[in-house]
Amino acid sequence: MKKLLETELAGLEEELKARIKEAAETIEAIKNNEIDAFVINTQSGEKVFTLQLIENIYNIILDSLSLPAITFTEDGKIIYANKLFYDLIKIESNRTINSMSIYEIISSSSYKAMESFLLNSSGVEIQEMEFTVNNETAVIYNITAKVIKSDGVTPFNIIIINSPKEIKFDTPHHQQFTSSELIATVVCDNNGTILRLNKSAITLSGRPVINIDFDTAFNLCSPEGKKITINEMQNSPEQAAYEVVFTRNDGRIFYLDLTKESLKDVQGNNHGFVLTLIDMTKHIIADSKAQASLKEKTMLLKEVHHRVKNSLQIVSSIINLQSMHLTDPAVIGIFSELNARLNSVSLIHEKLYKSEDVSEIRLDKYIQDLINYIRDSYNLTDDKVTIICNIDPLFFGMDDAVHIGLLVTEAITNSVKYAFPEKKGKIWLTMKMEGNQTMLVIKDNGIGIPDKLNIKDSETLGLQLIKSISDQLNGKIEIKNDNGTELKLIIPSVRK
Amino acid sequence: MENEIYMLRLYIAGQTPRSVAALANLKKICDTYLEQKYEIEVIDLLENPKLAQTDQIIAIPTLVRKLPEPVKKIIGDLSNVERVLIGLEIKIVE
Repeated sequence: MKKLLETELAGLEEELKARIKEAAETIEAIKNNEIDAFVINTQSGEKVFTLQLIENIYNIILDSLSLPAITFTEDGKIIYANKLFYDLIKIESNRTINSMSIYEIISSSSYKAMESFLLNSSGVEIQEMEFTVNNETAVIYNITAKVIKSDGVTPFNIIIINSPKEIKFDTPHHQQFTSSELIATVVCDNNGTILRLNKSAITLSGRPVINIDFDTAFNLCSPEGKKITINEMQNSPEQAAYEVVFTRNDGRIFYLDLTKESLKDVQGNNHGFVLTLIDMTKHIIADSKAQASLKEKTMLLKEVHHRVKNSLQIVSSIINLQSMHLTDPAVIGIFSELNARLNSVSLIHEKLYKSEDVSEIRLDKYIQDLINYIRDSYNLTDDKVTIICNIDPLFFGMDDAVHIGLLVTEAITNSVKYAFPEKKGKIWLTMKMEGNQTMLVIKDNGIGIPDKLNIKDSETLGLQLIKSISDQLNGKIEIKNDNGTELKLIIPSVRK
Repeated sequence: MENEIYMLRLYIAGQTPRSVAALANLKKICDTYLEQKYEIEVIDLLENPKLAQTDQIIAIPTLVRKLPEPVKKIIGDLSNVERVLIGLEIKIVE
């Protein structure tokens, strides 16, 4: 009997030892954070309580609080936020912030405060923290938060916001801070320290430059190479715009359009400023490439015009050489007419390669040169035939200028050759805009043209040329006798 | 002893993080050290809390070695491999 009792006792002792060992192991596992559920014997049988359920109890407490509150784990993962908290940071409660990091909803300027709080062992602490509202927003709250550390099975923290001090900023620009991903935005305090910057600004700067002096983070200068500092911008008007060149740490160069706007609260106190930086690098590079390519094209065109002019002059020289061997005055006349025509075209090319703009010709200067040539080649001195020009400074395209030049050459040489048997007279050349058409009049006080002469079926090359040129210009030509010969050409500005 | 089979029973509570971790850790240990010589039975106490009585389970997760005898318990998420190997009396073949 005694023996039986002893064995029974020994068995009980073994079992007890095992239970104690198990209990010790359980406590160890709890300490090591390896347990997150328990089986509890209740009157209605076994029930399993998970720690999520325990957290739920806190959630219920949070919901019953009349203050905004939030719970999060030691590493900053948000467990739960009550509705008042969602209201405070202006996020609709259907967009959960659970499982987000606490760092995602506080301003970077409060990171340090949060870190020191997380390191602190336990108890109640009061910290000032700035929450980012509505995911990087206009309104910044300055919050006095009561922070409680739970010593529960899974340690976690509770922040209860008991006195939200709200600073409402009045700058409409601040609103853009959120929305635009393309525009880099940086918020600085009055000392030029970066308080906040959006993703685009981080991408631009190449690194997160929060709490760094703006001048250190963004090394800016003007396109002329002059340094642009925060100090200078501070002394500028409330709103100011700059074109700046930003040389990044890695050596890349950005051309930026920078605007600065003061950050004032509704009372008008200055809290710093908002800087927006728009990357114009692509545009500026594209623009300078286009400019360079245009310059190159212009140079090539000028070269072409130069060569055409040279070729025409070679032809002209050949004709001159040839005419030196001629004796028949009629043939010599034909040759010099030909040279005058060649010259009027060659002059165009010369004007074009000498001018800034290769697409247009200033007609008054061109025609003046043409007339000087005719004067020289026909040996006209003012006591013989005077040519009086009155030409508006009109611009024409190359094709039109060639046509007008040829026509003027024809008309003037005609007058010089036929109008003055006495070799004495006057020629007037006027050209001006009248309404939407250009009027060219070449008039002389010579003997006039024969009445029978009909421009339409004239056989002389000169008149035929004049007719064909006026057709090319869509113009209207009139030739009449009026104390001499008058040739009038009307060129419409708008043509087919 | 060479060919004995390990009959293991893991008590979990739904998808709590430690339950999920325990199951993953157990599978890894068995694959590494027991090859084909094991069977795992997973009991979810959230579904059937009464089953906790069988092995007198208090904390979750808990692993119970049914075979080979004697019955042994390991409490926790089995993240400490050494402790699990000692608890299950698994000899590492060098």
